[in-house]
Amino acid sequence: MATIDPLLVILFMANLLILVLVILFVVKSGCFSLQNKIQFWLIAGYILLLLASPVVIQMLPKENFADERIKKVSEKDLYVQADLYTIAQGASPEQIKGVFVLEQWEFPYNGSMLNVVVRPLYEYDAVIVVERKDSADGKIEAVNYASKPIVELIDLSEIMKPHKVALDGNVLKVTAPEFLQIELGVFRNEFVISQILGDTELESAPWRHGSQLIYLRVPADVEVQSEASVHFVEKQ
Amino acid sequence: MDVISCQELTKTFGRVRALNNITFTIGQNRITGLIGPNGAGKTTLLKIIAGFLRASSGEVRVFSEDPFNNLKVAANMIFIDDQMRFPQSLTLSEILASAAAFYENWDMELARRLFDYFSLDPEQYHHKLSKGMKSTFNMIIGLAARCPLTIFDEPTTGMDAGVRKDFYRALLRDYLRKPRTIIISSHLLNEIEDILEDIFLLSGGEKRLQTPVSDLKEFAVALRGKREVIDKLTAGQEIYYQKSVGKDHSYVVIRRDAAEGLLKKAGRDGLEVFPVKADDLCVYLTSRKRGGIDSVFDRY
Amino acid sequence: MSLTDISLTEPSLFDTVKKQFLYKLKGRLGLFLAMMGVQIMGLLFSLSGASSHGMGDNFLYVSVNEFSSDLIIWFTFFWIFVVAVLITTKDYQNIDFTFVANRLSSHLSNVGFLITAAVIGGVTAMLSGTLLRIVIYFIRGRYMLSENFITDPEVILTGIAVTILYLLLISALGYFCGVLVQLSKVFIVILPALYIGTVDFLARELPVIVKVYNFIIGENSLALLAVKVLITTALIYACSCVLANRLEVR
Repeated sequence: MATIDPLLVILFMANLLILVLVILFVVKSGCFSLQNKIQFWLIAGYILLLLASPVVIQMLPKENFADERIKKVSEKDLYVQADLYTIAQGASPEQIKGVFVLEQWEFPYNGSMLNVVVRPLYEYDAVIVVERKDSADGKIEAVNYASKPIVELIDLSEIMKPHKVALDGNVLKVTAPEFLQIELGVFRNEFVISQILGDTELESAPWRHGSQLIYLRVPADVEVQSEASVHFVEKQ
Repeated sequence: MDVISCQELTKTFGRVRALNNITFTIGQNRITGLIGPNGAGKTTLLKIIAGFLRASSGEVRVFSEDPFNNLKVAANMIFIDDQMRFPQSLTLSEILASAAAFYENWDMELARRLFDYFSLDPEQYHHKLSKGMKSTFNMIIGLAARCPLTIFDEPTTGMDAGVRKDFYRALLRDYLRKPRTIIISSHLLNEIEDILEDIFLLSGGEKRLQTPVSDLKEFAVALRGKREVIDKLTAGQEIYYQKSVGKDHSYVVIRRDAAEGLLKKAGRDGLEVFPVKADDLCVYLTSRKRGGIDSVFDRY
Repeated sequence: MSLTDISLTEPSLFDTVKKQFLYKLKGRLGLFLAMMGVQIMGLLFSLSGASSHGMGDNFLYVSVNEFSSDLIIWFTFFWIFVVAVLITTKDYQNIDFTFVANRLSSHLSNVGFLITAAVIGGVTAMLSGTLLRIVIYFIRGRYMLSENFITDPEVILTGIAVTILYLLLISALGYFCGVLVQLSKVFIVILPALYIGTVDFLARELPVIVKVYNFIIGENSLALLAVKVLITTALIYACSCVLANRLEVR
């Protein structure tokens, strides 16, 4: 059992106190002098409303749910390990399951020196992998690879934002993607249900981090230097 | 058949002895007045009869059964006092309808008529009534329930004089139509004297007297005369009340039969004989000190 | 005996209990109004979500807000406890004994009332959860996941059954506490002290408490839970009736 925050206990007690006061207030005064008929219809109306709600909830359009709008993955997909870091160690991105191209760029380049900078400086550790091509074709190709972030079996890759990559003179600027904050809501079954039927898979389905990687293919005659850590790999 | 019989009934609350060794019976279809000052134990006695309280010792029988926690007694008895509580959300007419469900002999017609007469609003709430109106409403329930045993504990609290008279009149009329056993408690006799058949005097938790009202009027006489004569004459007698009149005269109340004997012996010289009113006698019989409140000041 | 004499009636216990039960149901509607208030309050408190957990990496932070109608059910539990204690008080007792009653009929009709209250409370508490879902759907539907949103009827029915069982048990406990207080006012001090002492702080790990906890809360079979709760409830009510049978009233 998790340790209980004393503050929570105090809050809970305060709630209970309010509750007692409400009950006593309703019972002792005001509402009690309501006519019996009015009381009866209020309660009957409330109960009817509640009895109707299981029907009403069936009629709500389901398209609106977050997971109906966004692609869902099967539980199987969760166990596809997409470790982008193996790319940095020389694995080919195309061979790793679950890795996909989020964005790609191509820049014509004639210089012999390329300076890679990462923005924001000091705050962001981009994983940058550099591969020197066989030929000096005068093109820098940049690919933003990513692995899927999965939350509650929802594939969030579609809303993932890519890095920004821009070439300015001999400086290739890699800007961290816009930080995304997503809020989701989910219902937990009531404890009286989970006591008998057990918890839903909600708690058991693990969340998967998504990660990103910038893969640069530079012409054979270009020297790359960077203050950020850059991994050089040989072409397979 | 006795509706109520008590044998050596005693009731204590902690160290306080509310009722002490009371023995009596009340016959069927009689109206009995339970008279006594405040704190005499009237309410306690009635609640024991009603089965609300338990006797500490002694035996109580109502309809030949122990009334405490007895459903049969509860169904054939109604106890009316100013502590009656009803659900606050019910209107008076809804309360009447509920009462009708509980009491087999309930007379809704009578309840309606009394309602009209006392101009009670059927849509009103019990807790919003004035004290007198509450008593009136409770009284209507007591009458309309037509219970074989009907107990009124100080029923006229808060009623004004006109309503009181109407109430007693209604009680009497309904009693004549449907005789039943009725007990009314009051600290004063005078206003209920006319409708009572029997009187039960209670004081300090003890039974003082139980007699038909007609006998009560004949029960005692008052003698007035010189103090020495009176003192000598009444020595050894039970004196219910005594007070000084003027400088050397004395006024005493004693039993009529005792007085007759004494007067036969001593002659009437210098003595005046008065009848004693029933309600005065009740006060004398139930007061704490023989000389009444005057005694506090007499030897002051 | 003359013809106009009023004859004695021979009441049956069952009849008296039935009459009292109906009278109480009618006269205590306000208590259900209080239940309504408590549940609506629970619903409002639940709108902001019960708990939230998040996950983040360099690019993305996802927080999932968990909603649940647990609070409504807890509030309903609390409500029935207060109601059960309340109806043992002098005020309510006086109302009983204004008309035909003895201790047993008064208790039995109270038990009947509390069973009714538990059933109504259980149904409304669980369905309030559905109402909460509908409200949440409209105020933040686009963020909601469909999981557990539309509950199968048999799941709702299971929830209702378990809630009713808990309400029965809690009402019996409340009634028992109320009866103890009627027997002696000392219990006003003893009972809360006992509660705080044994359940709340000191003795969470006490074997007895753990056993009691496992007996009811750890039971995963609805049928077994029902049997356990019904037997316990019946025993507690029986104790209350026996204890209070000699109590003086009015």
